[in-house]
Amino acid sequence: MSSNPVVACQSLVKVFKDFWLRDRARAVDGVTFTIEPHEVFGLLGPNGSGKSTTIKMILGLLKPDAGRISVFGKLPSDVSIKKRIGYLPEESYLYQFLNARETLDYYGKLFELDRRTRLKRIDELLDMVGLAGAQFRPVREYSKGMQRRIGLAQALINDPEFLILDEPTTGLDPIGTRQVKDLIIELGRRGKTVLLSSHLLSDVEDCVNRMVILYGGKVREEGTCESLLESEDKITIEADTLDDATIEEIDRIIRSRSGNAKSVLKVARPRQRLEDLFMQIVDKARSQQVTTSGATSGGVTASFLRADVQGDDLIKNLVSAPSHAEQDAARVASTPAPAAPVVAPTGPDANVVDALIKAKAPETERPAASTPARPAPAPAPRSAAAPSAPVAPPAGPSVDLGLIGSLLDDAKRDAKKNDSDKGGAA
Amino acid sequence: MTLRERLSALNRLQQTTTFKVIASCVVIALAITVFGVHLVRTNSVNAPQTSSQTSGRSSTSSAPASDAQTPPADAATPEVAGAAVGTEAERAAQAEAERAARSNFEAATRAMETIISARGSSAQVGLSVLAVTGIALGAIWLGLGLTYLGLVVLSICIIWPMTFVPSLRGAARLLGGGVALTAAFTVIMAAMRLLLSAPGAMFAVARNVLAEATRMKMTLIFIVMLIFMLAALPGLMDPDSPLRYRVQSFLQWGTGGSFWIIAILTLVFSVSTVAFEQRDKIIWQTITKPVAHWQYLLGKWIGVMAVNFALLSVSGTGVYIFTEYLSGQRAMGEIEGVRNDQQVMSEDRIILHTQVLVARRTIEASPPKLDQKIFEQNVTARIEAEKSNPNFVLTEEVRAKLREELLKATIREYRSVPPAQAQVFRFEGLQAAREAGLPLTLRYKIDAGSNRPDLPYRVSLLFPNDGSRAVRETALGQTHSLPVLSSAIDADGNMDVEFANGDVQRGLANPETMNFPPGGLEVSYVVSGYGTNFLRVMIVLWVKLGFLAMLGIAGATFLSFPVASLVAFTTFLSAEGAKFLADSLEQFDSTTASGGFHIIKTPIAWIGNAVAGLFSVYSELRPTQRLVDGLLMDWSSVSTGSAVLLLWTALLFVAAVLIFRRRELAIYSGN
Repeated sequence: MSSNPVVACQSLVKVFKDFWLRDRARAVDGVTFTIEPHEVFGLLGPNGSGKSTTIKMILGLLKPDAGRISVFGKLPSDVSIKKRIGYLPEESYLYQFLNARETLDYYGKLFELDRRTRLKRIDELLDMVGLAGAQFRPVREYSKGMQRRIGLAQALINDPEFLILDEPTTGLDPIGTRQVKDLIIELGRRGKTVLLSSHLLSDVEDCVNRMVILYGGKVREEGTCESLLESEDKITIEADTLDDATIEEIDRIIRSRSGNAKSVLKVARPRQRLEDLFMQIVDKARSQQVTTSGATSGGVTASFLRADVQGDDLIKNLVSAPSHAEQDAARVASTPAPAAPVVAPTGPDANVVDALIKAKAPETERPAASTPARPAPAPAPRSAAAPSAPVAPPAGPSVDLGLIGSLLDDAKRDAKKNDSDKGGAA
Repeated sequence: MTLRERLSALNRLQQTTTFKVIASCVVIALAITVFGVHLVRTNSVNAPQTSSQTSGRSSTSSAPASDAQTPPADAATPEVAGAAVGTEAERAAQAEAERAARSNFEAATRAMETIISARGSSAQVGLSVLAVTGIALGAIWLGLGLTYLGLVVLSICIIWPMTFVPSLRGAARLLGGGVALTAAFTVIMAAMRLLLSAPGAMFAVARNVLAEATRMKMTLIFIVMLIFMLAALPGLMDPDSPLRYRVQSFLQWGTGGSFWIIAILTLVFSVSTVAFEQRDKIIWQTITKPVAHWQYLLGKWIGVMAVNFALLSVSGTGVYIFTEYLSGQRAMGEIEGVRNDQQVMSEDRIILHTQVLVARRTIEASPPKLDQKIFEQNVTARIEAEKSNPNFVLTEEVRAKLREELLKATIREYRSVPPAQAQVFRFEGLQAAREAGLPLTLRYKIDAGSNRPDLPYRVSLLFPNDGSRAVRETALGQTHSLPVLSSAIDADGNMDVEFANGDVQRGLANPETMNFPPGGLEVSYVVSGYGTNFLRVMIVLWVKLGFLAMLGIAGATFLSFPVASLVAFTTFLSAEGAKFLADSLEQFDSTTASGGFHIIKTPIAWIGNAVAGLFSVYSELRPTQRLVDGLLMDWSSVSTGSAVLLLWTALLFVAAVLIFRRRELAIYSGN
């Protein structure tokens, strides 16, 4: 744990009182956690668990009844720290009489950005959130999703070091949801600190390094995604389609090596995620140049938010960049997906694997695992990889290549002994 | 090229610097030409008229200046039984004295006319040209030059033909006024936006308030209402009433009405802009940015004040320009309207230009010099007399109350003149008028009996310092004025006036004692022009609006919209009515019959006195009333009043910041 956490909450308590100052609701009850620099931190919990109240205390919008909070080592009420924070509330609260451009200009001015920087960032952000075509329409005419997008843009106008996102995907269509997740991952790569609050488990699971789970205003669980989600007594092997014989053989190997204590429990064809299918359909429509009056799917992430910034920013980034490998990883993440970048296990057993599992073209365009490079010391987040921007590590725990190797060694030996022996499929 | 493309091209053209420079040069050249032509015309008209001025004046000044309602000087006066009747020789002497006195007042009247003529219309025309030029230059440099030119041409094309149809003339005037005021308002708002483009979070907040003011329906309704009220008001003036009354009514409704509309808008808008942001949670996104609480609140105030400035500028300019136009209309006793440079003036016009469209300094008659010893003896005698009452209990409060009653009675007695008797009143502090040699105006009002309208009193006035005298027929219960030469002021700056209850020259006495009510005996002299006085009044009104804006903002920092509005409106009405409240409390008996604590009345009096005292500075400024009455709003009053109001505003601001910093903004007080 860093000695200078971005946020440190200690024994926070917040009680809402009624008119007669009687306790009405104990929204937060002794919450303690820290958010480290460069970390994508999740605040997970059902409705009314105290997530938003905690965030509001971090922002100084509420005052804790007990406990302490420090943000960048200072009190939340300190104005100087707010230059480093971006905040997206759980709903978009915008001036209804302004248009998108004026809205971003207003918030840019609050950060005292000079005119040139402001205009450049406004253009890029409007393009990024897909509102460039609707930038002169008053915000009151926007749909909820469009308002959400402009809300996200305002949270990013200052290129914040610490981004607080309260239910960021609420009201967004799957495209917007995917973009937000990609953005969070990209910001995490760039070394930003992100606090993500959500009750949508997939949002958190796909993005965060570490999380706390709140219920009834108390912290129920805390840890990394891996530590919280990893199953200790099961393993999944994903491969190209196998015939029954091969599967039976694998099962037999497992049984023989474990003395019939273990076996293949389930064999199923992986289903494509609905999100991926949706994105494919939208991509196809876009390629056919189908017009829409609403928000477009948005452009690339604003240059000032990307790792591959140019000019002076690039020099600064080069100076402060953690490593070339990380830069490369980020660049890979922002480039279109290769056809089927299956990462094969390396080493002496690779040929055997090829022989055992006859390689075929993958059924989906979803790229296979590539361990994401991250500047942060924290574990890599799970991916919400877009077809156009594959960045994802595989869902679930990482594959243990050593174990596969040993399994395949056994398989070779067994194949020599008993070619005709076919094990039952599980 | 389509029409849309042509318009776009013109829009781009008006944004270019070259266009702005050329257009500005054209406008300035036009302004200089117009003013130059006016000067040449004025000089050429004045020169040949000089010889005819005397005859013109003498024809109108034969009647001493007085209110139009005053019956003619030779009107029959009822004789009073027992009145002295002099001999033929005495009558001849009196007639001679009367002629001499009349020549004195004729001289004073001529001096007034000279002043009116001297103030000329050049300054007013110059100011008008300057204002129009300023607006035109503002429009040009805000990139609206061609837009406004088009608007003017379009308005002329629509409105001008309407003026030929008698039934549409009113509508044309209304439309023209509305267009002009709207154009002026938008230009000033654009200028305000430009001004508030300065870097900094505070100005960003202020600029946002400007956008809110022009785009939200609530504020827009007030703005439209104000513009149409100003445009419609001239049409509501009765053309048959005396000109000075028309002008005064217009000033009262134009300035006072505008102020009230803007004040109500200020209260509603300042409360809503802060309260609604909390209610709608928009403030979460602002206050989580690097904006200190004080910057946010000050930004809001600056924004509201900018809106006020724009509205007050438009309404003020509209009122001023139309007042100038109105003053050129037909006055009572004139066949048609005259210009200021023409020397034939009716009494109505003279009063307009010497008492309304000026800035006069007014001095009330000094209170009587009391002999303290005799006064205390009287107080003691009164107490002794009261002791005969068995319920009477002498306390310090009772003694003070008796002293006050006796003092009031003494002053009442001093200002009462029995039939066939005289009383000398002194006006002090007229050194400046004497040094400047300016004529003065004596205003007096007489009450007698039941103020019968069919029974005018003859009143004799004597000015001991220069020996001038006059006998006036005076309608009861009405204010009358009399021009007085500065020679009536002695070397110490004091002017004595002896009022006799009757006609001393004819030896006639009036039937009853005449009284001068409070405010019914004053002398005034012109110290400044109407234009500068108007400007000072506008400054005071703006400062008052500043206080109201901060009041609304401060209330909304911790109260919901309805509650904050209620508090703000109550405070506003209390402040406006503080003088009335103070006057009422003087007549309010807050104690029991024995002078003790009354469970209801005494607390009411305490609260009333506290409110009246708290807002005394605010209410005593009375800028609109001063403007309507032609009284001076001098710089010292402006600066003193403004300093006090700004201090209150600053205190409210500090309180608002302290409260706002302690507030939990994620909890709206209205929920």
